[in-house]
Amino acid sequence: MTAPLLTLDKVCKRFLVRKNFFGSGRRWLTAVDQVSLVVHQGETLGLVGESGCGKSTVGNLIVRLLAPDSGEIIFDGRNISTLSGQALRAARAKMQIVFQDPYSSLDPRMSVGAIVALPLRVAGLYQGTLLRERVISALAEVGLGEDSLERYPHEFSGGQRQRIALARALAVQPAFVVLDEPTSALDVSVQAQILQLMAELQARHGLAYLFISHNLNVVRHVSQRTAVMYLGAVVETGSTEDLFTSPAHPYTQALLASVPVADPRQRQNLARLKGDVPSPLDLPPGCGFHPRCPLAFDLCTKEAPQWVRIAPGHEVACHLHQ
Amino acid sequence: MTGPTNTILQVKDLSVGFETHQGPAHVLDRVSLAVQKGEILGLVGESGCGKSVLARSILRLIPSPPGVLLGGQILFGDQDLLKLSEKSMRALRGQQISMIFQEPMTSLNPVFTIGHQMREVVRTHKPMTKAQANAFCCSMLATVRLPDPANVLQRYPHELSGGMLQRVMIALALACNPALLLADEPTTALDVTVQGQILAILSELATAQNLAVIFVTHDMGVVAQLCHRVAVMYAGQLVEEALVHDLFAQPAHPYTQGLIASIPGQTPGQLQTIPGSVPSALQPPSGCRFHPRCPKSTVHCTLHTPQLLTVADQHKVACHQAHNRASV
Repeated sequence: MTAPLLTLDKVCKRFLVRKNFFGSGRRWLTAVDQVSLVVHQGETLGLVGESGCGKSTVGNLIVRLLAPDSGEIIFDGRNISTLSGQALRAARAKMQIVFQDPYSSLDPRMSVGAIVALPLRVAGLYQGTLLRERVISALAEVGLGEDSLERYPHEFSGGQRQRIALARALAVQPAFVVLDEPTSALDVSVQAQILQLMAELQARHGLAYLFISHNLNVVRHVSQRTAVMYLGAVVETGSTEDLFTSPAHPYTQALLASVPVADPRQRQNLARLKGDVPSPLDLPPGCGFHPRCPLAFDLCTKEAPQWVRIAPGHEVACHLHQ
Repeated sequence: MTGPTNTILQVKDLSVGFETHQGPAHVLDRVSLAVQKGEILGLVGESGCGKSVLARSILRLIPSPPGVLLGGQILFGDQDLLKLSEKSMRALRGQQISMIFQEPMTSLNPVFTIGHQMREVVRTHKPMTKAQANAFCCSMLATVRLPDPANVLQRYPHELSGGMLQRVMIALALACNPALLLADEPTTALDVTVQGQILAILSELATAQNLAVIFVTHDMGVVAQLCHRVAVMYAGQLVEEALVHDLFAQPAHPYTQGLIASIPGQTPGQLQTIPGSVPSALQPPSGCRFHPRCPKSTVHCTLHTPQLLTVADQHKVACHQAHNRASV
């Protein structure tokens, strides 16, 4: 197998939280804890988890909107975890991000043409008529015509705005795109159009995607491999097929069983897990999932589990499998 | 088969509009709907189809202006809710019909404790001392399986998670044993494992109290798991109504078919899509409002609005093609 396009090696990120208004009582919030992931050329890695589990922070770390506290991010053979300035801008020309909310990720005062041209200008790739042609072809790829160049984001629906955000990400012809909940703000019929479009673009350009979502059905549909996050840590990775048909971590099992199946003939017991996700300000000792885990035993409360390979490419961090 | 005596709420030809700067928008167009005792009716559709406006219209929560009632009746028992005085309406809200909303965070006042807000509601409808109300609230919180209810009552909304707050809202909504509960996307803002807990509680309590529920959602998975009957809305109109098993087994309206087919993870391979997007309520398309996006539309569809007609037992649909097939 060729070297992966992107490797995350034990990446950590903590945020400083002030406990009260006057800044006394500082506490650390562990958003991302020792996360290791790989993404290969042309594949889609799904990253799933509930809100607050750190999946968006991982996305932001990869495109270096945030700097990791420790660990390495290797992109295209190069350690980008400490890059800054010109070198970081050059690296970003090969990796882009699409955000969840197309209503706030597009500047309302910029025309669509200017929005899509901006990353090209920043990368210094094209100028003049060549720039204009590149913008038009990027918009054409997402199904928008030349007439949209002079229009403003408010004139477009949510689905069309997400197309504009995609065009902006693809304008610089990246090798890798982080898709951070790209369809969560959209209706299901429009979501299907956008998912279809992203699959076409991936096939045409050999793009690699990190697809971040809380929607397991969507992740199952789009990704070849999937990683499950809980409370800042990845708890299971594997091929999407393996992970969805034989989930090994109790959290993955519960998460999958909680997704309402759109078939009234298969009524499920949806209340599989009790309680809520603990606060990342106050991580439980041992395995982060033990307070909610129906199968937890003594060891889980004391020691963090190690990674275990249970099948080729299928790894899990759980004491039950040690 | 449920008889007419079991009908608890009947919406007849309800039309609601809004005044906007660009002219009047017709958000609900002659919607008729009935809910039986003890049933959970799913009301599904995409954003802007009018499902929330319908739910809010039942409790008369649409501000006017800009909202305008253009016609219709909402019969609850033998009284028309649209003709009640504001005073009798206020007595009815929370007592006989109650509602829970999508954002539990914004449904509660952040500057008062949970206990303060719950006691206020309970004592509005029932003569109780503060201590009695407190004990009553504790027992209500226990029914929605909140651990340590006495402690929860002393907390402020920001100290609880979204799932806990939504359980407080359910406890509040059911405090006076209402006959009808309107649930407007109550689990959309919650994580899937917490959503599961809330749905399980709702369905249990509805059965235990013989409660009728109108459950507004855009999630077909939730509908399949929770509801007995489903009404599908599109661009302000009701386009299909059926028992949940029939709707998923034999969706008759092309929009419903598209909605079910565009759920990812059902079948491998290409995802079905519905082309285009939801039309504006300011200028709805002529004829059948779905015709610009419909793969089966004909000239007839562009000119004539289809009626909601019965095509099979307890299965109604508003589509010319489906009517032809069923020859009604």
